[in-house]
Amino acid sequence: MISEAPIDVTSALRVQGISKTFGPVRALDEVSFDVPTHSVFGLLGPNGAGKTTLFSIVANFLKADSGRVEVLGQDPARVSELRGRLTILPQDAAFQRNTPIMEQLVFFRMLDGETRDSAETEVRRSLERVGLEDYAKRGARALSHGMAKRLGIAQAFFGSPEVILLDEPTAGLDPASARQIRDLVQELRRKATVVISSHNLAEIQELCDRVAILDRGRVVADGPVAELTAASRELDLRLSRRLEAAEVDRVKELPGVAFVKTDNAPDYAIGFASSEGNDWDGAVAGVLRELLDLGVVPRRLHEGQSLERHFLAVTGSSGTERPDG
Amino acid sequence: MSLAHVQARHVRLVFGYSLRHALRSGSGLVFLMLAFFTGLTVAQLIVSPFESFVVRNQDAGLTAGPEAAERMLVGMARPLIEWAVSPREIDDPEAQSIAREQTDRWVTYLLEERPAIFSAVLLVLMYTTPFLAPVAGFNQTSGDIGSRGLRYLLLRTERANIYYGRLLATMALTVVVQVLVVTTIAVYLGLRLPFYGGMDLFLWCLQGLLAVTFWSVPYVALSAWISASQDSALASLVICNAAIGGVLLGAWAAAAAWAPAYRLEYLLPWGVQHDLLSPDWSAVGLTAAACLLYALAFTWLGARRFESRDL
Repeated sequence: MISEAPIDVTSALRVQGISKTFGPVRALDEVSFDVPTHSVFGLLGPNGAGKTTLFSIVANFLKADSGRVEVLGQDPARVSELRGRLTILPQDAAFQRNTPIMEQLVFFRMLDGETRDSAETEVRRSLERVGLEDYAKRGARALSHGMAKRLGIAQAFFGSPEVILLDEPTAGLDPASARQIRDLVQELRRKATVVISSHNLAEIQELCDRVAILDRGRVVADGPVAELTAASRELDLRLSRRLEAAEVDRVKELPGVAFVKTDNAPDYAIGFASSEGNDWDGAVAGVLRELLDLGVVPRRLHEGQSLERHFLAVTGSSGTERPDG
Repeated sequence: MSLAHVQARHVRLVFGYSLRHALRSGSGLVFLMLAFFTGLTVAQLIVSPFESFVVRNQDAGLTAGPEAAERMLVGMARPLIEWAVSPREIDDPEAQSIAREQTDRWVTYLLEERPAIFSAVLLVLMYTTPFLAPVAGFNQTSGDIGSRGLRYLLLRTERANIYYGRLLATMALTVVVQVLVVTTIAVYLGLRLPFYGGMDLFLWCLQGLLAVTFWSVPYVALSAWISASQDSALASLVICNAAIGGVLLGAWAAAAAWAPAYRLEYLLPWGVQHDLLSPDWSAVGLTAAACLLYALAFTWLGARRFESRDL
């Protein structure tokens, strides 16, 4: 299992000026960011933003046209220096259809340096962990998309990796399996550096310390999640009744409140303006007091998806489709 | 691709895994069946006229035995074998005379000193086995490049280990299959044509095996290079066979217009491989070395492509 290690402030992954072109399409354009050691880092972007291309360059599947990548201070092309220290869940990579999955995973572990006996023991344990022990002797053709994804995750968590790249780890998984993956990532916090790409912004906000947002091959935002979302914090509420227009106006006039979304009444989203000195807790308390004064009881209340708001703001919700994600 | 990156343990692991996978995935079995089908069909096509001749003679009450039938077959095969082993273009009359002598000696060796029918089978195999090699090698990496399955390996071992391990597995499969096919043909001929001595057949089978192996290996390496350049197994198979057949047909067609153009054959081992059946052992040795050089060149090109490309 992965052992606890002291927090290190140096970068586990350093991406500097990476560019990559596929024919006429510039998939990545001078992308740079650092991933601190032992952090959980999110890579966000619309479809075709270049996330998978970037992961593929970091893992040395693709060659960058220019720029430089360092993983744990090493060039990822030096496989023998990083063997077992850097692992990946690649997106859409297929296992062999006719070879038993047990044999495939044992082969991977033997390449990692394990003996056959220890590899078999570990693989059996991993398959049990992802609920695929009954499929050990069957080829990948017997697996559904979700099962294949779980198998990919099992191989990414083998051994004691120091950097784990997870490309869309929960896409196509049922809610229970997705929860299991998120719990696994939480377990790894402070033990390994995890880089996750996902379209699920709630998931990223829950798991990640830092994010970089890619759009059309460029980094359009990069920093701690708390900093990025501070500019646009939001409260989601379900109220005991609909608010009258005048009541909505009263809430809007409260200190710190930027907007009130009423589209889904009696579900409301209240946005808070963020500036130096604004007191988020005080502003929330003010809203709740006002609602109670109006005789309205909040039935459900949680912090809204402010990362989503930030994401849509910086990407212009372009959603530009391009190949190789 | 630097050989310094190659690790024997990893090459061995990839080799064993790929060999098992080739048989399990069906591509190895298809190669085995095609090789047997081709080899036995060639043997049957050559033996059939001989057997018909014997049966016709018996029906007509003639006493001519199998030896007479073989003489008939030798007479039929001689022009074909002369064409196959004679030099393509010699202007100097003195050199022409020497070449003619060498050709006569060679034809005599193949048709009279060695079991003639087996020689004919080997000469036909010389033109068919290069087209079978791609069936073994076309999917060495192309399928897994297309499905991105290689991505599970690329952080675990150097690309060189994957390429060389898989290439050695493909070559081992090719050699084992060729041994089975040629041995089966030898046994088949031994049973159908009992007038050939067992030892004669065995020795000629041995040299035939070496010849088939040496002329197959460069084509396997070529197929592996093409496979490393493609994302689609089907495209790889088509390009392999087009390249192998294209060089041969292109050389023949070009030579019809301009005789020296026959040298296009040397782009692949087509121009030298018949020397592996030469009576002159030094020629056999040199040709084997040339085939290995072809194989090394194609392997180097394939490994370089595999190392530098996006996977």
